[in-house]
Formats: sequence, structure tokens, C-alpha cells
Amino acid sequence: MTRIFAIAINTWREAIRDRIYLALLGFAALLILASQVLSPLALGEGTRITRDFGLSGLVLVSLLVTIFVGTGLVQKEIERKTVMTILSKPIGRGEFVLGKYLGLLMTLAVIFIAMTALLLAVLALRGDGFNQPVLLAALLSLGEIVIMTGVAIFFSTCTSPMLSGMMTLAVFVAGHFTADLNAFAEQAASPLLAGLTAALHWIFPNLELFNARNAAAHGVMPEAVRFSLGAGYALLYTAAILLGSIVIFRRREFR
Amino acid sequence: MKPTREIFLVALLVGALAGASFLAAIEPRLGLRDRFTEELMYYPKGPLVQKAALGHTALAADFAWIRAVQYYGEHKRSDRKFDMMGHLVQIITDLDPQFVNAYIFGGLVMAQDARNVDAALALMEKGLKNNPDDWQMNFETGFMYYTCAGNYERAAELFRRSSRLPGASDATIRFAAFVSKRAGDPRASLFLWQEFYNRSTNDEMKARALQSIRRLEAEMGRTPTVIPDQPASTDHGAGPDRPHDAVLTPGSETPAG
Repeated sequence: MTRIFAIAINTWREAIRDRIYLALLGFAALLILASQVLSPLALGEGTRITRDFGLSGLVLVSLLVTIFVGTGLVQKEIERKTVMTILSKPIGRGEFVLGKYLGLLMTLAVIFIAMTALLLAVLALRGDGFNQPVLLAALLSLGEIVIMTGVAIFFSTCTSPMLSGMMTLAVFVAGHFTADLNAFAEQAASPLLAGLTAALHWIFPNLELFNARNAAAHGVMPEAVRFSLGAGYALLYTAAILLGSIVIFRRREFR
Repeated sequence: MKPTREIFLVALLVGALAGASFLAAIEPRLGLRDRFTEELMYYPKGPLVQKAALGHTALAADFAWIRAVQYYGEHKRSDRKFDMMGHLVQIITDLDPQFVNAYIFGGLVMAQDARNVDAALALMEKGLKNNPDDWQMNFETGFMYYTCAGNYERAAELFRRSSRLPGASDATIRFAAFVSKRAGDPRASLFLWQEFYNRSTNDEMKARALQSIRRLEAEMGRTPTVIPDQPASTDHGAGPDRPHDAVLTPGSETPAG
């Protein structure tokens, strides 16, 4: 565990010094403040705009960090040959992958905490008080961030940063269409097509499970069962995808 | 790079920006085609935007809302034509069916500015279907039936429903009582005025409610409702010291609904 944390902290240190990360952190703050500029145009719906910008911005900025910073994490080490130095030490390949994942998650946690705190502060200043539905919706979104981080690391172990970024984005998009895939599988005329779409439905992560933004926009608390279901799903799906990453990374040869 | 060359490039940049800004500024004065309406015609329908929003439908609804407000403002100041308002509001309400203010704003604009009462009422009914327990949705729909369509029965029904929902303003009962009479149901009107009288803590409102009750009772040939005496006052007069201390006993008959 100590070795995993050592890699995680090193990854985190490296990531927060990345200019793209700092730019995205600034962008995240700007997004919430920009909602205040739009508020006067919203005919009395300024608080709603702030909430929606904040909650959606949280997920979208995290996704951008995952794509720009996370997808090249492992590949960069391979290209620079630094991975050989690391793996020559008594560090397993699985520990390396887990360390990278945790490091990226810690990087995203900084953005998550900063954005959530800023959003709640702005809402409180607008007279919305302490907005519990918004906080809970943000916490639920964490599940989506945890899964997408795992996906980014997975692609990072097997392909170039650019392809990795595109595939991570593709999984993000597909993750919001899993219900449609399921419906398509049920209605498909061909058993082969039905089987294929059903398989895709199970393979792609169900990211809509973590979506309580619409409810939060209307001050409705997310259901308690959604949290336990979401936590379990995020844990299991991420574990599966990280295991896949470790399997792929163990078979890779570095020259 | 030489300093003079750098200054020259910066000056070119500033000049190019100034030129572009000048052209953008004169564009509205050239009387070109209404780009707002043209642009809005290509806005996809709500269900398509819903899929494209990737779970961020509330945010997409907000962008559409800001667009709708800008569209209204632009056309209110210019040609007063609101042909695309219905389309915009449909997108907003497809993306967020619980966006009550969008139905109300859109309905008002379509009914009063665009003079399309049927479309406005269809929109309000859609809002009612998606938000049956929102008192404001019921009240505003009833108000539109009353003022724009002259449908007093439907208006009275909606005002009555609104008055029973959580958070409803006292005005809903007053409207329900008033419109019930206009709709030819004086019994319902009397019952509602009595309910309002019992509920209200505002002396002047209670006095007005009492006036309406007496008027209705006279029209219906009923015995005036008795207001119970209050404990002794220095005036030795009958009746309570303050109107809101008295409670009327409603009539034995209560209207349906």
C-alpha cells in the first residue's frame, strides 16, 4: 500500500504542476462566476442558472482534466522510458497502475472540492442558503468521475494519448445512452443485433445512474437508495476496469 | 524579432480587430434578414437536444431559456412578432418538464403578445400535466382560461384545485370564489368565500369576504350566516372585537370538487 501511495502522491504532484490542469482549474472557477454574468439575462432564474452551471461544470471540467491529463499518464512514462526505472524497483505493475489511478483521482478531488465549495458559496450569497440537494447531487457525480478516471487509465495503458482521449470521450458519450442501447436490444429484430447491443449495454458504464442534476435544479433531494446503488456500481465497475488495465499492462513489453 | 516589426504587427492586429468590430456594429443597420428567426428555425426539437445534452438537460434548458428571453426582448423592441416563441418554449419544457416559469412566461407571451391563445393554452395544459401539484401552474392556467379564453368553468376548477395545494397563496381562494360565481355556481362561490373568511387573518380581506358572503346569501335567498359573539367588550356591541377572531360555520351543502 505504501508503494501505491508513493506513486499516487508523485502522480498528483506532477499533475497539479501541469499547465493544462491549472488552466482547467481557472476555467472551472470562471464557469461558476460566468453564470453570475448570465444571471441578469435569465429573467429571475439566476439561482437556477448558477446551480446548473455549477453542477454540469463540475462533471465537464473533471472530464476535461481526465482527458487532457489522465489519458497520457501511463503512456508518457513509457515514452520517456521512466517506467523502466520505476519498474526496476520492487514495484509491481499492478501497483504502478493503481498508484497512477489514485494519483489522478486525488488531482480530480482538488477540482471537485474547490468547485463544490465555490458553487455552494455563490448560492449562499445569492440567498439560497446551504443547498443540500446541490451538495448531494455533486457527491453523486463523484461516482461518474471515479468511473471515467478508471476508463482513462485503462486506455492510457494500451494506446497513445490522443486515441486514449478520443476513446475516453466516446465511452463518456456512450455511458449516457445505455438506456437507449437496452431499449434497442429489446426491440431489435435480429437476435445477433439484440445480443450485440445488450452486450454493449452491459459493457459501457451506466453514467445516468449518477445524474441527480435535474432534481437538484428543483430543490429535490436525490433518493437515498441511489447513493448506495451508485457507490456499489462505481466500486465494482472501476475495480473491473482497473483489473483489465493491470492485465494489459502486465503483458506490455518496454524497449 | 525587431521592436519596430513587433509594433507593426500589433498595430495590424488592432486595426484588423477594429475593422471587424466596425463591420459587426453596422450589420443591424443594413436591414439584413432576421438572423434570430432564421437561426431559431434550425434549432432542433426538444427530444433531440435532450439526447445530445448527455445528461445535462437542465443546463441545456437554461441556455434555451436565456435565448427565449433574448428573443422576446429583441422582438418586443422591434417588430413585435413572436413566431418562434412556441418552438423555443417547447424545447425548454421538453428538456425540463418541471420548469414552471417557462410555461407561464411562454404562455403569457403567446397569449398576449403573439395573440395565439390556443397554442398558449395547449402549452399551459402541458405544464399542468407535468406539474399537477404545483399551485402556481394551476393558478396561472386558470387565470389564462379566465382572462384570455373566457372559460369560467375551467378557470374556477383550476383556481379551486390551486387553493388546495401546498404553498398556495390566499388569492387563489378569492379567485376561485369570484370566478365560481361568474361560472354560474353561486353555491361553490359561497362555500369558497366562507373558507377564505375562516382562513384569512387580514381584517380588511375578512371584511371584503363577509361582504361577498352577505351579497351571495341575499341573492340565493339564504339566512345570513351567524358570526358567534366574542367575550364582553367595552362597546357592549354584538360581534367580535376583531373580525379575524370570528369563525363562520360553513353551509351544510358543499359544492362538488
